[in-house]
Order: sequence, then structure tokens, then C-alpha cells
Amino acid sequence: MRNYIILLFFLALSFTTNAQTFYSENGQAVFYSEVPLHNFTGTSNNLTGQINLTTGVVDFYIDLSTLDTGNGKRDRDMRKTLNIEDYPFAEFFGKMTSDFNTETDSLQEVRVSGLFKIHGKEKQIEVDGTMQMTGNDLQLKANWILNLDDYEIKPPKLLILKVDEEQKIEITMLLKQL
Amino acid sequence: MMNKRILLLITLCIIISDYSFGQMKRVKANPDAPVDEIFLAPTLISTSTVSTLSKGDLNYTVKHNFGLINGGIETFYGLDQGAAVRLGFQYGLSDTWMIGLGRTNIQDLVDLNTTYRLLRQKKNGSIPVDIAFKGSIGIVTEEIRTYQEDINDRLNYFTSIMIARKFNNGLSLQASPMFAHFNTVVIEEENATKDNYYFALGLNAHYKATEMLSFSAEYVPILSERATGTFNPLGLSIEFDTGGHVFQVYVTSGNTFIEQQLISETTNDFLAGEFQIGFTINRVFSLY
Repeated sequence: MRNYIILLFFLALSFTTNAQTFYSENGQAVFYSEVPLHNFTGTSNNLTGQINLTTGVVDFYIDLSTLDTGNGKRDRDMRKTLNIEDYPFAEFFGKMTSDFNTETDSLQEVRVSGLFKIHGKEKQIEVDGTMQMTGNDLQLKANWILNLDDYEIKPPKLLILKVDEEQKIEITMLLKQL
Repeated sequence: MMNKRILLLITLCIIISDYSFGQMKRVKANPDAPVDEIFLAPTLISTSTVSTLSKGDLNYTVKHNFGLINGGIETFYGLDQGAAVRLGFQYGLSDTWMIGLGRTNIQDLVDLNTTYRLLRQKKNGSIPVDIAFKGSIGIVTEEIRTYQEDINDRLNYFTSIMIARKFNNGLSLQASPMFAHFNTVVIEEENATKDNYYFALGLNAHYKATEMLSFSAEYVPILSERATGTFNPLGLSIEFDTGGHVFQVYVTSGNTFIEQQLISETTNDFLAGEFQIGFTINRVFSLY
């Protein structure tokens, strides 16, 4: 009898946690480097993310080799600067610190707090964004400023390509319910 | 038996709930991606490399050779002497196919060329080498060659298969069987020989010392009969990768930059001190 109670507990736990889990692996991430005469953006459509509205756990990562700035040479230089051979992913793992109501389809402001990791360095950050239920799916938009110095990302000194120290990151994603 | 089943179910539940609470496994989007930067630029001194441009990229090159260094201080080690100059453009039609156009002041040679990457070395080792094909047509536009009345007499051709491998983050090697053909050859000295065609083997080495600094070498043994008075071209280069530019500074016995000219007309013997200083500037633009 005791075994069945334990089993029921774990069954209930797993179904509860999974019921409010949303996932996608084709979200869009864009960064903007804005220096006069040297503006460029990098885009990837391989952002992978999972949000569990029951636990509030938010988990995102992106394979940095998928970032495309529209210039092959610049892409290769970026990959070297980020040292993606050793650190292939940029990732965020944290929790929602604001409420989100799944019963309405209105746009709601949300805030998450957690560790952002890139180039082998991590930093606690808070990100504001919006989420909206669209049918059974969850639409997410967020942006924040990434300071390269915080993650010890240093373009080579002789790099003629100018890179903004502060890069605006934008993510957009439609997550499907699991 | 019942306990084992319950244990199995609990394990499954834990796995499912862990999937919801824990971090996802990080999965690479393209695990069999091709190896990056086997060489820094589409050419290494005078010979081509397997490296092609990305789709939509335009590479503008300026190549410049000075006079022979063994002229000493009187010629400021060749820097006072006339130079061989080539201006060229290359454009990436796709990530594996590149076309190019250039003009060299030696015989006022205009060349049209194309490079197609047949095979890409993969990071996961499933394909161990890069293989690329190069084809080129040269047109001698020098006016003094009045004996070449017909345009066909002014044409020469070059083709090679380039086989390269990046062994680690530092070292890349390439071997390139080459063939060149000249519709017309001009023999200006008695008893000299000069064929219409040449076979050669291009050998390239590239070593990346730091993110910005690399060292390279090229040697091209001629496998068929050499033209009288010519030698196997040899060159040594230092390369600076500064982001948008790749600067190559070198000493080379080759006095031109087009492979068909290089393997048929290199009259300098590197080992006898007959070489010159030169440089190449590569600048990549994105056109889309």
C-alpha cells in the first residue's frame, strides 16, 4: 500500500510539472552592434527554450555557430572572439519573478532572474519581457543589454571591425505546450 | 516483481519531472558543421587555396611584388624597382562557389577564374579533407604582342584540384595537382625550350601562431619539363588577420601572381637568394 502511495505522489508530481511546460527550438535571437559607420546585426533562428509556468523555471540556450551577421569573414571573426570551440552555447537558466495568468490572452509583462552564461563566464541578470497566450501556445518577447566586458569578451586589439561594447539582445519565440 | 514495476514507474516519473525542473541538455544545431578557416584567404602568396568566400561576400585584393632583394642597398633591396601588381575581385555565388576577375601588369594579363568546393572537411571527422576545383582563363592584352593577332593566340588556361586538411587549430596543409596550357608560347632565345603545357604540384602550409598572426609557405615543383631558365617557385609569408582585412607580407621567387605564369615563367632561384618582397591586401565586403 505504501508503495502505491509513493507511486501516486510521483505520478501526480510529474503530470503537474509537465502540464504547464512550453518548449520551442526555433526561436529568433538578434543582437545589434551599433557603432557609427559600423552598424551590424547578428541573427539566429535556432534559439531553444523551455518555460515551466508551474515551477517558474526558464531555460534558454543558443548554439552560437548559428549566428549570422551577413558577412562570412565577420562571422568567422565573431566565432573566434567568442571562442565557440570551447564555449559553443550562450545560455540562460533562471526563474520567473513575476506572475503570469494563463487564463487570459492579453499581453502581460514578465520578469525573469537567473544566470546568463557566454564565453565561459556567467552573470546574474534580470530580464524584462512580455508573454501572451495565443491559443495553446505561448508568445514571448524580451530584450536586454549585454556588456561584452562582463563576460570577458575582447575582440582582438588590431580588429579593424568596430564592435559596440554594449550589445542589445532581442529574443522572440512561440513556445508550444508539451 | 510488483516492486520492480513500481520502481520503474517511479524512475520514469522522476525523469519526466526532472525534464520540467532541470536544465535541458545542450544540443549543437549543426554537429557536422564544416571546419572554419583552413586558410585565411582564397590565395596564399601566388597560389590558390581551398578557402572560398561566403555567399554574397566580395573580396578585393591588391597584390604587389617589388624587385629582387639581392640588388642590395643600391635598389633598397628591390623596393626601388618596378613592381608586379595585380588587382582582383572575387565574389561568393554560394558558400561553396566563387568567381573572380583580375588584372596583372605582367603581359597585361586579365584572368577570369572560378573555384568550387567539392567537399568540406567536417568538424566531427566524417569528411577528413576539403577538396576544391579551380579553373582559370588568362587573356594576354599586352599591345606589343602584335604576333598574336587572333584572340585565341592570347589565351592560356589553368586548372587544379586542391586537397587540404586542417590538422588542428594551428596547422593546415594543402596539395594541388596543377595543369596549365598556353595557346601560344614565345621562345625568344636560341636553343631555349618552352612547352605549351605544364604539370605541377602546389604545396601549401599554413600555421596560425595567434588569433592575428600566421606563417605560411608555398612551393610549386614543376612535374613536366621546365621552360629553359625557370625554377620551382618558393615563397614564405607572414599573415596578419585584422578582422575585415587579411594582410600577407612575403618573400617569393615568383615574380607574378597567376598560377599559369608562375609555373612557366619563374626565372628566380630562391635558394640562390633570388627573391623579392611582396604583399597582398585582402578586404572582404558583404554585398547583401
